[in-house]
Amino acid sequence: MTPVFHPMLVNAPSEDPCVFVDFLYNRRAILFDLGTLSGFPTRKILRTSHVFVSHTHIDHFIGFDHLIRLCLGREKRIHLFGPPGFADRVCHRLAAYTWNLVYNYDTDFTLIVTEIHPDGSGISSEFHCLRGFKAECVTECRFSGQIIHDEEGLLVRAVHLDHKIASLAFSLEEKRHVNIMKNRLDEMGLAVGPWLVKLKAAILRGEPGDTPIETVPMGGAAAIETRSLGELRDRAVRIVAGQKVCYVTDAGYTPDNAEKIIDLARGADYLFIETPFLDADAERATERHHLTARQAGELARAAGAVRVIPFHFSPRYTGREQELRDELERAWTG
Amino acid sequence: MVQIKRRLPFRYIEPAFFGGLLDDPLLFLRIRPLKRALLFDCGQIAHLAKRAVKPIDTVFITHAHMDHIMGIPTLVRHHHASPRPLDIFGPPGIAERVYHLLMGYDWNLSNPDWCTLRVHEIRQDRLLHYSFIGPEGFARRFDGEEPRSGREIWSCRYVTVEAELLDHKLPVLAYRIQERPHFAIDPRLMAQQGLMPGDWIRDLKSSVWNGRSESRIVVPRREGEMVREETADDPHTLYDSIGTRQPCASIGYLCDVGWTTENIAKMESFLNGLTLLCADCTFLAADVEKARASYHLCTADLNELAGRVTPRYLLPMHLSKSYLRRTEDLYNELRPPQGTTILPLPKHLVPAPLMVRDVEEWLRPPGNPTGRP
Repeated sequence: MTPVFHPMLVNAPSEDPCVFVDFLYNRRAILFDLGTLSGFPTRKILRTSHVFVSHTHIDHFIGFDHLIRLCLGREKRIHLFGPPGFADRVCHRLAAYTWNLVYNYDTDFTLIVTEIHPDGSGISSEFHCLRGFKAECVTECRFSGQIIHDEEGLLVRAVHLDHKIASLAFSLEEKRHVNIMKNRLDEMGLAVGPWLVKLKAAILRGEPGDTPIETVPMGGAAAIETRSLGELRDRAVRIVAGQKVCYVTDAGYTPDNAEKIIDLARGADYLFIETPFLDADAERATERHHLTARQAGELARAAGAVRVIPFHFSPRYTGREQELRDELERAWTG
Repeated sequence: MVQIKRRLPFRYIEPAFFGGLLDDPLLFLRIRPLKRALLFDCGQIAHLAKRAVKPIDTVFITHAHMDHIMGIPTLVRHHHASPRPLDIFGPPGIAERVYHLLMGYDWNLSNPDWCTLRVHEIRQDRLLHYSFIGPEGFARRFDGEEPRSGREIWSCRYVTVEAELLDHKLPVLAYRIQERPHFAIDPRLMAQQGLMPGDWIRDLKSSVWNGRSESRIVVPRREGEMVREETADDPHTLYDSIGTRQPCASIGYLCDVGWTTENIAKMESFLNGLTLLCADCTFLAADVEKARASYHLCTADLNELAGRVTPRYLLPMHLSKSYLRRTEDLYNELRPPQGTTILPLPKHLVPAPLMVRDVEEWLRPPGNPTGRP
C-alpha cells in the first residue's frame, strides 16, 4: 500500500524530541512534542494541524513559541493536546509576550488547547490572536477508550505514563486504508487524479454502493463519466488495515507503564520510543524515570512493532550513540 | 605580508551583532578583561553556539514583543545547571513577562545547583528587583525597590550601561553602553610642569586608579639644570593636572521607537556623540505612514537622527521583512552626516533550512558548450 503517514524525527536523536508526521496528498501534518523547531523548514511547520505534547519539560515544549510566531498573521487553527495542567502552561507561554499589535490583524490565528486527565475527562479552551490570546470558550469534555481525537479517516489515542509527573504517549491510527489498484483502473479505462480522493472519502464514510462517483476517463478526455461507487469499489479498490504511528517518551520502566505502552503500541507500523540510557546505567534511568534501550526494545518486541525508531539519547553517550541503537536492536529482535 | 586587523575603536568591549538586517536584533558585547558578555535584546537565539551563549550573564531587553524576548528560555536552558546568576534588565512589566515565560514549563527536576534569574524592572522613577530562584523551580520573589536617579543602571570596572524610557505605544528602553576612562598620562601636560617620567607613575596609578593610598608619591621635577624630588600633596589633584582627557568610546542601542517630539528630544540628549549607534530602521522613506502608525523609524527619520547625534559608526538593523527583495534600497536611502560611516549587514545571518534548489547546482553534469547531450 502507499502509506499516508510519513513520520520523521525533526532533530537528531541526541537533541530535542519532536516527531513530524507528514500526510500524503493532503497539505497537512501533525507533531508529537515540541522540541526546538529552529532547524526545520518553515513550509513544513506551517502544515501542522494538530500537536500532541507528552509533557511540558523544556526539551519537549520549547518549540511552541517558534510555531506561534510562524503562524501569526495567518488564518490558521491549530489543535494542541497535553497532560493535566497543559492549558495553564499554554496560558503562561502566551502571556509572556506583549500582544498590543495583534488586535487589528485581518486574520485570526487560533489555538484550541485540550488537556487530558487520567480519568477520561478533559478541558478544552480557545486562544484567539485577535483577542490577544486570552483563554476563552473553556469547556469540559470526556474521552472514551483513550481516544482523544477522532475524525473521518483517523484517530489518536493517548495513555498517561508515570515520569514522576504525567507524561502522555500517543498513537496515531488510520482507521482503514483504501488501496487503489492502478492496473484495474487501466482495465476500466480510467485515469488517476484528484477524483480518487473523493472516492476514498466516500468509501471510508461507508456510503452505499449506488452512490454516483464522477470519474475521469483515460486519454485526457475532458468528459466526466459517472460510475457507481459499488462498481469502482468491487473492481479497483482493496481495503486494508490502516497505518499506526506510536510515540512513547519519558516514562519510567514500571509494570504499569510497560503494560500501557505494550497495549498502545500493539502492531504499530512505526514505534518512536525513547532510549535515553544504556542498560548498564539502569539505576540512573530508574532514578530519572526513563527507559533504557534494552527496556525499550523489549517493549517494542512485546508490542510487535514493525519498525522501531530510538530517540532522546542522553548527552552522556555523545559519540557512543551506536551502542544505544545496538542494545535496542538486540532486545527488539530477541 | 602584515595584515592589519581592522576593528572598531573600543578598548574594553568587543561588539558582535548576531542577526542579519531582517533577523531579530541581537547585540552581543564581550567585555574583554572580564571574559563575560552582555546581550541586548533576546529574540530567537537558537542559532548561537553554546560557547557564545555561556559567557552571557546580563541581558538588557528593550520591550516584550516576541522578536525581542523569545530567546530567554533558550538562554535559561544553557545556564540553568550552573549556580551563576543571570541578570535581566527590562522595561516596566518585564518581571511579569519573565514569570510567564518560566511558568510555561514544568521544572520539577530543579536542584540546588540551578541558577537564579535576577530581574530588574526599570521604571521612570524607581528600580524594582525580583528573583526567580532556580533551586525552587524558578519561584518568584520580590526583592524590593529603590529610587532611580540618573540613567545608570549597571556598571562594572570597565563599562557602564545607561537606560532611557521611550515610547513605542508601550514603554521601551534605549541603552547606552559607555566605556569607563582608563588611566593615561598626557606627556605634554607632564612636560609643561617639568615632571620627569619614572616609577612614581605606577604609584600614582595604584593610588588614584586602584584606590590604594598607603604610599606617598614622590615626583621628580626639573628646575633648570637640577632635578628636585618632592612629595605630591594629593594624588587626585596631580592626576587631574596631567591625565589625558579623551572621550570614552560608547555604543547606543535603539530599537522600536516612534518618531514623536518627546522621543526625539530624549534620543538627542541620550545618544549624543556615540562611537557606534545600533538603530532600528524598519521602513523605507516611502512607507513613512507605516512607520508613524507602528511607532518605528524609517530611513528619513534615521537620517535626521544621525544628523543630530553624529555617531562615528551607524548600524541600521531590524528592517521589515516586507523588503526582502530590496534590502539595498535601505542603504541607498540612508544619508549619514559627514564623519559617520554606515556598517552594512547581510539580509540574514540565521541559516535558513536548506531547500533542494540551494544544493542542486552541485549535482549537475559539467557545462556542455556545444549543446550536445
